[in-house]
Amino acid sequence: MTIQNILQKGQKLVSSSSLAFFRIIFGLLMLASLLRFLSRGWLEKFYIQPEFYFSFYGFEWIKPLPDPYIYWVFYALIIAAVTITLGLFYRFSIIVFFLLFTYVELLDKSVYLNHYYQVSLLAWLMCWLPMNGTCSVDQYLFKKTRRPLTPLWMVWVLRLQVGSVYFFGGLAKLRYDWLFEAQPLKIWLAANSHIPVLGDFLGYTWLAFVLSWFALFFDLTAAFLLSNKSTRMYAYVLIVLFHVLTHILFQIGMFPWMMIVTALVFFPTHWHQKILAIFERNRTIHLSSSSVPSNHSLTIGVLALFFLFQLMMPFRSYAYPGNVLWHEQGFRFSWNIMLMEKNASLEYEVIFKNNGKKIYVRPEKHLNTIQAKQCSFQPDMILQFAHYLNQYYKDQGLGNTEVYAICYASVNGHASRLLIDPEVDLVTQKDGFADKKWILRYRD
Amino acid sequence: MYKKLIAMTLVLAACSCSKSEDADPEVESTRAEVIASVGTQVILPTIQVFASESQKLNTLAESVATDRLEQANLEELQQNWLQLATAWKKVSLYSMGPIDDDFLESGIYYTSVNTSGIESYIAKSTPVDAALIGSLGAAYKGIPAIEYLLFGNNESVEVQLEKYQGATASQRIQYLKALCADLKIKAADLESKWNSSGGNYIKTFTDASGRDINSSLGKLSNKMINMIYTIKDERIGAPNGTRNNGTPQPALVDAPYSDESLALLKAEIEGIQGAFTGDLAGGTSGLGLDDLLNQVGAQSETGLLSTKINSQFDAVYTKIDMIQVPLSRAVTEQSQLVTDLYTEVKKLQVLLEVDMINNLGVLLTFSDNDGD
Repeated sequence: MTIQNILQKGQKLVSSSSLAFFRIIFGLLMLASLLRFLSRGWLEKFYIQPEFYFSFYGFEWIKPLPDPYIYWVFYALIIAAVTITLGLFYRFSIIVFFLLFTYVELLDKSVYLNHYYQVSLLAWLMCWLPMNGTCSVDQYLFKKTRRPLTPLWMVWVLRLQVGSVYFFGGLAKLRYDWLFEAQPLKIWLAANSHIPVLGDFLGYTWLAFVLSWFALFFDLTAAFLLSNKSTRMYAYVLIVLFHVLTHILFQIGMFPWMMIVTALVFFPTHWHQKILAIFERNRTIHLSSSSVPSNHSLTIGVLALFFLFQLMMPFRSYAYPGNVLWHEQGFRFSWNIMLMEKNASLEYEVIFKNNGKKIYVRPEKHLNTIQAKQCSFQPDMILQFAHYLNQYYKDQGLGNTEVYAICYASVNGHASRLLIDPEVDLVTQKDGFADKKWILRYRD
Repeated sequence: MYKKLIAMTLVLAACSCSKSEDADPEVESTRAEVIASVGTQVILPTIQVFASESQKLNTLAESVATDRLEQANLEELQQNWLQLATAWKKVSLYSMGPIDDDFLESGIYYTSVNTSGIESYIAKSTPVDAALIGSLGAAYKGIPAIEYLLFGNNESVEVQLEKYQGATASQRIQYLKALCADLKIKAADLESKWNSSGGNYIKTFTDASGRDINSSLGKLSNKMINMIYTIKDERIGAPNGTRNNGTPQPALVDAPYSDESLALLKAEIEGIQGAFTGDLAGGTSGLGLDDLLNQVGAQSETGLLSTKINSQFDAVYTKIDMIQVPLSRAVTEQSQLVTDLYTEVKKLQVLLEVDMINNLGVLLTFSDNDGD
């Protein structure tokens, strides 16, 4: 298929049911996810209780709203998830959802998850697409939103985004640890030997290898197999089995469900139409009444830039020397999913400049469990917390400090070693995109 | 191309498997079996020893005269106290279940003894009985309070004897007896709560065989790490001056009245090693966390990780044994030896907290995780 063919096919008008279907499942998924988040008390734990938040570089100005306003943000998100599902005030709802969800995700990198990133990206894409053209409340309230037909490329955009998680997730697995040591699966599978029936097999190294290589090929090919008519159903069954298995084995929250549900976008439009028809029995689609705007050039241009950006983001870690699992520069926002079992021991040596007094501080004293764990092995967070400590003691009236990190880390079962140069005063170091020289190089 | 890829994959997978088979000693023990073994072969016997030591001390205390303590009595009580205290130190690792839920620890081992408060009760003529002890706060009872009564402010046996033979002797003996009786009850209570014939916490412990933060393995790993930090920072670091710009603070040693802090910290380390190996010194040998490490083929730079960790335990014991004077003196008289001990404990802490946890794959947080 030539590029010209693709462009022509992309312009082909198809039923808007696929977009409406995706809008509904996305809305429902977000609703479930938000309710789950609130019911577990995580809002309180993650965004109200901490005394310090690990902001993202460049987004330090984003701060959590105080209680109860932060709750209002979540209530607004829940309402938006409902109105997105219903297709009510869709454009406004999805823009609000995107902004608020992304705001929450930017508050603290210690709770960064790849699938939260995916939610932000999908929501952003959905801001640009007329997903309320059919099967929505809007079409009854505002006639101009009625759009029974939309160009096929709009569905492709969503498929591309869903498929890229698999594909880039697969590329990220092309590492020595994954391929030739079956790590971290070897550790994680053995850790699940308590699971009935399945657990009896999980301690075998060969199984870790089989699953590692299977997951690699599965990820690399999933989007293509789902796109092909003859393999789609098999691929989807595999997707369901694979993600249910990951749900059983790992503590990964909504991720498996999100992948299972969003992969349905790869099914053909008539399939989505059939499903929606169950809920909208009496409605027939009048293809002739469509009012398809002919010019999407702005949207297409913006989305092209977006995907170009998406194409580059996962590879930015290669701009830094060494193993990304160790230095983690360019690790986030790159679909590095389930790639490492990493943990560390972190203590800070704080020297007060005015009297030379030296104390040792463990981050647990100031951070909650998840913050302390994430901070212990992620160099940019180690730096941020060192700066926080310096400011903390200044605010206490104890003056300027030198802060050194004593951090031993281990990745994927390899022996622990120093992660941060203990001779470098982190107060003098700045965060940024330049290679962080105070992260000690990983030696094999 | 696709066929080639598949063929290459199979070949590579086969190579990888055969290469690592040597380090994969079949699946011999599940986590559930290890947890069950640590529970029944290590924890229960450890608690049992503590309960029987407290009973012994109480029996001894009951046997002494009500108004006068002889030197032999005092020395015997002191020896028994040390056995009891070391037994407790090994139990203290398992501050989960009944110890946490029923807040038992503060009544058993609360380090900040209110010595003047105790003396004021001794000076009063009101009888010291179980009711009074029950009404008092943690600073008035437990193992450290008994230590204070038996050793005073780190005084000689002669000075101590004067207190037990003078005007307030009977009040002091009454207080001592009441504390020993109180402790015996608490130890028996703890033992009963763990035993299958009592509260049966052992079942809760063995049933929680998962890998999340609330599993027994998760809790046990956390306790081991917390304990090793306590030993490093509180037991050794603080008296050695880590909180005081390097100037030693001898008063911060554990068990300051008896000056037995080295023996007690050794017991704490032995307690951690017991959970790690599943073996009890001079007792049974069972499955421990080291078996789980061996099972996943966990390696250090020099061989099996479990061997390296056990060697590090030995290195710590060696450093402890090299210190020939009480820790409160060693921090000033043999500070290099204490610093060397601190360094070895730090190495052990890293091995347990980083290498061991990494290979066990236990989840030490409660929230979702998808790979970083």
